[in-house]
Amino acid sequence: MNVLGIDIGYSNLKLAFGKAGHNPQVLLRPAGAAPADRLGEKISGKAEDDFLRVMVNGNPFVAGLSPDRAELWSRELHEDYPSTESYRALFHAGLLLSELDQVDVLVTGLPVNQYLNPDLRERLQSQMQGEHQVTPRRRITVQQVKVVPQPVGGFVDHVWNLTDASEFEESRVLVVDPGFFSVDWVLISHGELRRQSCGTSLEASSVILDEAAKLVANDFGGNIGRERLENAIRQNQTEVRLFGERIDFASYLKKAADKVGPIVATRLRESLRKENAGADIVLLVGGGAGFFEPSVKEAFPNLKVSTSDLPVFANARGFWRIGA
Amino acid sequence: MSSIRVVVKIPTSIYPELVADLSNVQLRDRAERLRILALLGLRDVQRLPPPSVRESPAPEDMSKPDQRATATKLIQRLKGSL
Repeated sequence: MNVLGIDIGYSNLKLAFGKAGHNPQVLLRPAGAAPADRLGEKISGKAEDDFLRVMVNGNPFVAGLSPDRAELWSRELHEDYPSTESYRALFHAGLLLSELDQVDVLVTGLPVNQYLNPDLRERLQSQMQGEHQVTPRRRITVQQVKVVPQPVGGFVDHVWNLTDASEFEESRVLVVDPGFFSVDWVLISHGELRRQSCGTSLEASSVILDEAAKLVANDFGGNIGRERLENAIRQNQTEVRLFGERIDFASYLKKAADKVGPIVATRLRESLRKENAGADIVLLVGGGAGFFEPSVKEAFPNLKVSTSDLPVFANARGFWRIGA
Repeated sequence: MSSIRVVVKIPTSIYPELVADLSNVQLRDRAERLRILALLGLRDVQRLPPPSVRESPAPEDMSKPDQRATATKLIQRLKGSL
């Protein structure tokens, strides 16, 4: 049975794919997508493209490139992202990268507040199910689609890799998933989702990057922009160049995270007040986990705070596991 | 295509073998030689299996049935509550 776990984020496209009963392969691509004609000449004229060319509603798109590379095409950073052409282009890119002609089970996630709306859940499910013309000569069929709350993927991945999962079986686990556009959380109590203690905050990684860029501008006189910082982090760089000067941006990110993180931590604490008992364990998953870890630890000083191995892949691997 | 620029000093006292190797290469070819040596080293560090193995992912390790049983039970219960 071919299983695909696909996590189409605002910053990265993450995939876990392969046959049930085997270990999945994982892949990460930047989540930029745009109509093919919006690419600059210098980029599209290169001998070797490092992005994918796909079809969306009969129109050629490029996908899997850095979000700032397409000209005259706004980045989609809003709640209706799954219904956009950019999202569909990334979905087709994900199908292509999985190297499968037929996907028997596809599992993906939605931000928690969207997952709790059955209409949005079903819309995404029907959008992904069926036959997809991903390139002029390639069709890929998706038989069955499951949509889950995003942080659930990270939880499943973490539990599967534990030496002893019994601690998680008997605990109330607050799973926090800081992404680029939203920070999502769910409370899983003795293995069951507690819907009233789940939530979403938009004070996410993109807000931290905006704040860091503002702090850099205050000190160095120019706006380096969110996307440049994002690209630098994705490439494990520690410096960006502005007006000919190299700027080490780590301290600016920390200052920005110290400002934004506590806002999310307060929302988490408020969310748990709806429960008779608090959480026993906090699990951090998702690409922005590092930004929020200090604030989460400060907000829950008496709780064990765990982080997934390679948290950026945690949801996709967990999605795959749910389908396998 | 993006790239990063790295300027490296290789002290003879610490890396005599590396200095000897690079000394045998023309000046303009040294960066390429260093990239190749780094890639070979990286492969060893990451212990990557050969490509043919990577194309066929290994079956899952089921050597710890009790460990997997608890995790499987927990995941099934969670799936049921979604």
